[in-house]
Amino acid sequence: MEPHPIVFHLGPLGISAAVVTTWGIMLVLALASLLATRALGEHPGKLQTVLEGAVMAIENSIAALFPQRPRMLLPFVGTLWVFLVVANLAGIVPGLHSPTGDLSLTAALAILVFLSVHWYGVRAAGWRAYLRHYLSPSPLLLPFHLMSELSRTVALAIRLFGNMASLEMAALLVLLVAGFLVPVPILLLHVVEALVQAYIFGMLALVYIASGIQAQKLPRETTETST
Amino acid sequence: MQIDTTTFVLQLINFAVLVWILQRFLYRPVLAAIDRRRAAVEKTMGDARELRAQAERLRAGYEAQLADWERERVRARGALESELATLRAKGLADVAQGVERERDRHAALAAKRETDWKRETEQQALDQAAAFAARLLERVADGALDERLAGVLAEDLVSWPDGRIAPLAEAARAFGGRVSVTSAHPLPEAARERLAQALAARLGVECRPEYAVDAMLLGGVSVGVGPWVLQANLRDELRVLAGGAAHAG
Repeated sequence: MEPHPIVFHLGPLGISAAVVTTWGIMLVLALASLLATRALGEHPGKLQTVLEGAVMAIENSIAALFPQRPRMLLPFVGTLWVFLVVANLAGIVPGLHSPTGDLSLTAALAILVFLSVHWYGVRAAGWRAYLRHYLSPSPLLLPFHLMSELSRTVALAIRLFGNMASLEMAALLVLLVAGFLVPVPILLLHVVEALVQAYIFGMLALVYIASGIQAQKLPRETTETST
Repeated sequence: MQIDTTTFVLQLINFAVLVWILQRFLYRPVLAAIDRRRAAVEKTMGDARELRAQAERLRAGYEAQLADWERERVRARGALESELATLRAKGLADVAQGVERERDRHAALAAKRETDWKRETEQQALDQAAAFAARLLERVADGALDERLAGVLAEDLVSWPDGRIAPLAEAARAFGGRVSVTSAHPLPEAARERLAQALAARLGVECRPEYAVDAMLLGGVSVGVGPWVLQANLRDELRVLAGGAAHAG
């Protein structure tokens, strides 16, 4: 898979097509959000019902794993789902490539997930309590905890990148070999794959963050109970 | 498969900006709308619960009132039944008294009817006996019987007390001694004389008898002094017999 080409330079920075596509997606989402939420009322119309249904579905999914404060995680996890759905589906638009086929984007998202795990964990109970969970149940497990953090972050980035890049490559190969209209089923598979990968990425991020909060919280609740 | 640093950093920034954008323009307004609706629904539910509580209180009040009414109804029914029992007993007593009175009245009526029947029967018997005696005496009576009865009257005048004779004497004086003497048969002269003397002696006035004959007397005489009439004949005796027997009965 070729890296996304540089479209233009902004000073010393080379702006790649993935970044431009991401900006476009951001613009579309911003405008759509602005327009859709312009006239929210007590009696919802069809668009408001769809919007509320989507937001409540995200909130309920988060609450299933982290029922204490689902709205705390809603902006980050919800944005992951919304952005990844749109970014993954951007590949089926003629002339566009999914930005998630760029390892730089998936790595950036994986790093953000990695950082958010620690951010929410520390925010929930403080540095000491959060770092203590790396030493539980035994300090001997600290290397394994660190390895797990690293490997799951890399896996997060590579999984999404690999799936989306390979899907576009498969569609391109089928188009070259079989000709026109034959890749249509591949495109339908693209849609399914895009939704599934977005869900997997967001759900894994949610699981990591929730486990990061609750892993250091459970021992403390046990300690409070015992005292 | 390589990571471009510039793209990596820009995507970090891009996603952070996108989180802010969606939080600002999507999640916050939508969640606020949801919260407003939930608050409205909660308020409606609260109002409904309050209404339900009010309805429950009203129902409890109504049920208590119904219970009071039921107790009042039972009490009133008991009082009514007691009053009805009293009235029924009184009515039955009144009816029994009425029946007893009616029975007594019927018994009295029956006794009176029986008495009346007896008296009528006796009267009829006496009348028949009197009629029979009258028919018999009518055949056997004659002037001698009239004379004897006139003698009996003269003898009785002598034995009467003065108090009984006084009004006769007064009437005789008021009529100037005029006395009517009626007999069933013509009286002999001797009988007339003896009767006139007895009257004059007892009444104390000179009597002027006026003689007459009335066969209805059957036998004997009837002497009239003013408004007074002295009967010594069979007809009046039979009447006295019948009337006296009826009166005695």
